[in-house]
Amino acid sequence: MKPDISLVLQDHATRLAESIVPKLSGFEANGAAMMSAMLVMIGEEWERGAARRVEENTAIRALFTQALPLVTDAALSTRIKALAAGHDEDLHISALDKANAELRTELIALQTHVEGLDSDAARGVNDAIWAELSASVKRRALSSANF
Amino acid sequence: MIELTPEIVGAYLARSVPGWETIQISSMDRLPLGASRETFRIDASVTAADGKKTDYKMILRRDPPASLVDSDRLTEYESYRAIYGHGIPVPQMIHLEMDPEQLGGAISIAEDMRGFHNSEYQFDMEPWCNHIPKLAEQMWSYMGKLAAVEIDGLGLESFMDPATVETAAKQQLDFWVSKFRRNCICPDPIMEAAIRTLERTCPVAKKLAMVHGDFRAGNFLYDEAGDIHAILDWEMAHIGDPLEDLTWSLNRGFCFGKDDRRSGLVSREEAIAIWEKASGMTADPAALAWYELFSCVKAQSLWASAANVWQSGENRDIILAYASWWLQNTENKAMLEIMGRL
Repeated sequence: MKPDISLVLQDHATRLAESIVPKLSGFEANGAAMMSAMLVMIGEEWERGAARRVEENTAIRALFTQALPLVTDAALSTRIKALAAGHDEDLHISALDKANAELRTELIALQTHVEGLDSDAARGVNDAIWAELSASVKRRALSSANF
Repeated sequence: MIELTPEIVGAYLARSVPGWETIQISSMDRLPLGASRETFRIDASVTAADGKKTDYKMILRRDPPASLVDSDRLTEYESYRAIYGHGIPVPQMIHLEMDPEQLGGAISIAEDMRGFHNSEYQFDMEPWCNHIPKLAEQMWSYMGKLAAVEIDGLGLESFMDPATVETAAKQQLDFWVSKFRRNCICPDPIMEAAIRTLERTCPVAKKLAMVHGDFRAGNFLYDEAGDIHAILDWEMAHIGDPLEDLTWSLNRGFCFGKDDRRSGLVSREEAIAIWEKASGMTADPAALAWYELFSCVKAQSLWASAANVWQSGENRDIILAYASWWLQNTENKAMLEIMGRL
């Protein structure tokens, strides 16, 4: 779609902040300023939205595959084995989000489980989970964030 | 929910505030303050029963049907009244209405302290950039003074949950985790890991204090000379460990200068030193670390709740969507930093 959506959103955000917000006051000015900031966030997310979700879902599936031999909870093992075999075939954001929620729900269960295991292999999986969680905040980072 | 107008508010005040016979409201504007409550600035001329006229500048705050904060008008109103006169500058309270039928939600009315600033985004601009050390000194000194106020005799137990030095941390953790569980609309592995970490051990408070609950840049009034005139937004006040206020103010989400300065003012170590001097306490490193991680969990619970009430349609205020988008990843990142996993 041309002009580029991220570029249009950035431009609209700038116009809103620089041309319209100064003509408003109080509550309305504050609301318009926040909408401008949100357009910038949407522009960032538009460009990377599908890519970061696929990357994250793939990384979590790989963690499940790595962890499978260690998992002593049969039900958890069955669930993560099924999820590890999945693929992101539908690239709509809503479908990727649904898959991501399922994967992250089981990632929570997996990390809770491996925290209770006393072995170097379990600690290795836990470290890999932490590394993925660190990568996840970098994928989601907003340029306007305070930290 | 009814839209508040000068006519509706004026008629309500005339029938509800003892001694106020007629109210003429000359202006009433909604202010862009906070994410949790509607706030209106009101100018009114009040005629008493004896015919005497008095001009009032007032702040009216109304509880919305759904918000990111669950506390009610009573908590904030009585907290202001309890701490008034104890060395912490706060506006005077005028009126409380807990019946939501009267004005579409419980309301409180307070003295409006005009001519000051509350923005947390302008500290690096003239003239405030010249007063950053002064602002920091006052902010964390008032926080330390609050920690030093003995709570016996404040009457807090009449409107706040009781706590002990042993239970204070766990009570707050349980409260915010429960709120998160009720409002979480997408799984958050970092938040869950932080909760598990906090649940493994809870610190015992060195003392109990009146905790403000949202003591940070943006919640105090200051002038061009860098003097602080009032500490605002006491709606999350409670009895607890005073380290809770200190660590909330250190939260990375409130680093408005987008650098290491906490609350956009000074370094973490400088802020702690000012607080320790004013409070007469020493911030135990282990307890401080626990409360710093807790501050992220509390914040994330707020932002998750903001996302939920917006998504569900209960409250479509822009700030709820904005804050939840802008801050949830920041809190996740801050949690990782504190847990040494960033």
